[in-house]
Amino acid sequence: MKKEALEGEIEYFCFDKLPKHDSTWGLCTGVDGNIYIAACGETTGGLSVFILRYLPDIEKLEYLIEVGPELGEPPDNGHATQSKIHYCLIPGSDGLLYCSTHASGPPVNHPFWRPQNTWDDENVRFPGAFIFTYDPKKNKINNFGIGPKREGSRCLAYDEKRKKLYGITWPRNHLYVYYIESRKYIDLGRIGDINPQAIFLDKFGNAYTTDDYGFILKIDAETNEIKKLKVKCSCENYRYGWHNVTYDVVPSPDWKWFYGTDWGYESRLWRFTPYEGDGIMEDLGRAWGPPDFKTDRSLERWQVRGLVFGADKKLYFAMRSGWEEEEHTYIIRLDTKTGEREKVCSLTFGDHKPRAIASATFDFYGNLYFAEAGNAPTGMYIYRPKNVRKDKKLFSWKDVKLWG
Amino acid sequence: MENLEKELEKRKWPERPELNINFRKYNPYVTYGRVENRSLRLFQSLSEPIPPEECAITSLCKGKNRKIYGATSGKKSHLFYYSFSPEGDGVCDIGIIEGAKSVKNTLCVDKKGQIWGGISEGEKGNLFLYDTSKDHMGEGGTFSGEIKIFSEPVPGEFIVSLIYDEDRNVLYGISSESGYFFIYDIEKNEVLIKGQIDKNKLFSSVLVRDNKGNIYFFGQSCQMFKYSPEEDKIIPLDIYAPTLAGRAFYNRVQSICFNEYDGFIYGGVSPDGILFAFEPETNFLRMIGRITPERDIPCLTVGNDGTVYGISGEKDGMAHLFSYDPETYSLNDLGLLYTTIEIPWHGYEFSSACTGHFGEIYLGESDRISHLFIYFPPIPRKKKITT
Repeated sequence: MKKEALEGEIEYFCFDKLPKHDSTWGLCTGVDGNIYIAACGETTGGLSVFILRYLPDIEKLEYLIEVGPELGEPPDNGHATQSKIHYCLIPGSDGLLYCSTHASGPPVNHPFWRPQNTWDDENVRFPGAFIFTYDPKKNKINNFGIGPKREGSRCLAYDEKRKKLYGITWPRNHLYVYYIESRKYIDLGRIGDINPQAIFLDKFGNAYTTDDYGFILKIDAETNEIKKLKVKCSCENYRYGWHNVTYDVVPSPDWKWFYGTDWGYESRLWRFTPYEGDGIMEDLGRAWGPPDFKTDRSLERWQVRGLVFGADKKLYFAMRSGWEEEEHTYIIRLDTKTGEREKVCSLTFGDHKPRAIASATFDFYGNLYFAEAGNAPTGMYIYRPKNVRKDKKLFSWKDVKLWG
Repeated sequence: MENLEKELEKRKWPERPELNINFRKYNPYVTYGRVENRSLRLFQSLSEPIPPEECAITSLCKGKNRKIYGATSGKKSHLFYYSFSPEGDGVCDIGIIEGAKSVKNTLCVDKKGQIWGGISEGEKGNLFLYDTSKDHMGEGGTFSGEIKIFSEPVPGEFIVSLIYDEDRNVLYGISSESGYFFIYDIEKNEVLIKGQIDKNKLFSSVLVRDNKGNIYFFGQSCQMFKYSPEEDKIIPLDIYAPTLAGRAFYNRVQSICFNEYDGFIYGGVSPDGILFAFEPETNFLRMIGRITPERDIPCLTVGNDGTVYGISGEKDGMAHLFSYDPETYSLNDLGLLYTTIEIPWHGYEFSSACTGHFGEIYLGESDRISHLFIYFPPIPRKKKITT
């Protein structure tokens, strides 16, 4: 399905060979320029995550591998399933994808699952998040085993220089590092109660995420020491900022700033640069919408997610318009120089509306990809700007972020 | 890939069963009674909390002034008090205990209201003393006293358990490596080493005093010993803390308390996570049961009504609060500790407990970031007496 959008067109792409899979969390651009996708099944019990690939050159979708059985965890074995690769699908310059799995899919034939209810139940609990690489050329998984025991891995970042992964567990919210070469897993301890959805890297390999109130936590690349910086993601002045954990973070085209949004009730945008002292945090205000709209009672009301810079150096993101009589999720474009916001398109296709946009990325030609969550079957949206040509690459590997 | 796509076209997918569920039945949290917590900072967030990696609350006791005193473990060890007061409901970080990285269940209060403690890890296993007389928290400010460091009772060893005997004004303790049982006479500033609990250094790091003044501790295979101060004698008892069959070698009593209500001593063992009761009058010990599959019972305390409260959990686990009612012999899992007051927080790991003046239960979280949890047991509804 396609329709017109501002200065381009938007296409909805359904992963219809996976009729029960309902969310696409992991989405990234590989070094080969292809788009890699983690199609997850978190509502129906007994589903394993699949890795898919979209080839922009020939506009074709491929179903590559079912992950659970490859890890020795078939989805019908009675455990909470290896149902997801959340923001843990990270490309490497070696062509591999660096991954860890996440929990929330129920065991087969179970109507729901919660980790707290099954923590000590060996038969039903989630065994843990597997850390592995996927080689698209060989269509093979290299399984490093379970990292965080009994927990899922919410988000991941990859420091290529040190061959080191940073991740955050769910539900206990521990920060971990994993050294690929020595296969060494280190639990750095608990960082909060609310699960950050992003951990990102500066040019030196230091990692950043937030505590429950949006204070930036820096993890030293060499020592793994966690330091709480004296900068905080923005929030309304009557709030302490509870739940302002990072949701999505992208580098600016020149990599000097990191643009992000919170998993908060307000859905603001901010930008942060870590390179002076404790860093500088600038509030970019509410992501979009009328100036007087209120902090909502529902955490997932506005759904500001799927941040990605276009080849026009403008920041694209998705957001739901909770203030309109009929709600839609829109792609919005922000000119970071002027602060101007423009509506690019709605993501409503007839009766089909995304419940959420999970993440976004680009291909090297400049098309933008937005992953969908909350509908079965799951899918993605492709925004094709008019200026995109297949004989001209507007992005390259150096533009790709190595975090989810 | 092509094979996979073909296979997917034919695959029979699982169905989600119809949802006809009362989700309230599946709430894993403590809902019987009320749970709160306090960040380890001054009230109204006047201070930063005690930092992560220094704030695991590993020792708690109730002061004679009704304040709750606590000590932490980690990169440094802090002594703090919690003021349960309308004027200042918060935590005062009294200061860092010099040379300490851990204080594990060694805080106790003497008859003058001073707090004694022993260093369980760090530079030296010193005793320390804290004078509580200046402690006050209110709008006008927060005040505290000094921590005095005393010498180590057993040279070269740390202190892993410490209790106070008000009748004799002495402290009883156990040393970390060799497991020496020692007495520290406060008036005389004198240490008497009464003996090694077990020659093979297989002992439990707990001490408890009954209402007759006898002291109990555990050696190899969790054999119970009694020290009678009147006879000045250690008496081995033919009594063993319970474990699963064949596992006595691994067994340690991890937590213990005396219940004035029924005169029993209650203990929790690790790694089998079993709660037991021991009656000193009859030398009778019985297993009560296992609360969750988690391996530890890191702390126990007795509520004002004689109910025993404790934590069933383990490192990297999900701890449950439980209660045991000695009247009904009922062992109840109360659930996971979760609250949004003061800090929205799940408590997963705990190491210490004590009971407050009004029967509220204090639980010391021992995570990288830790809070003082407070459980308010429910008040049973009274029936009006009609004639």
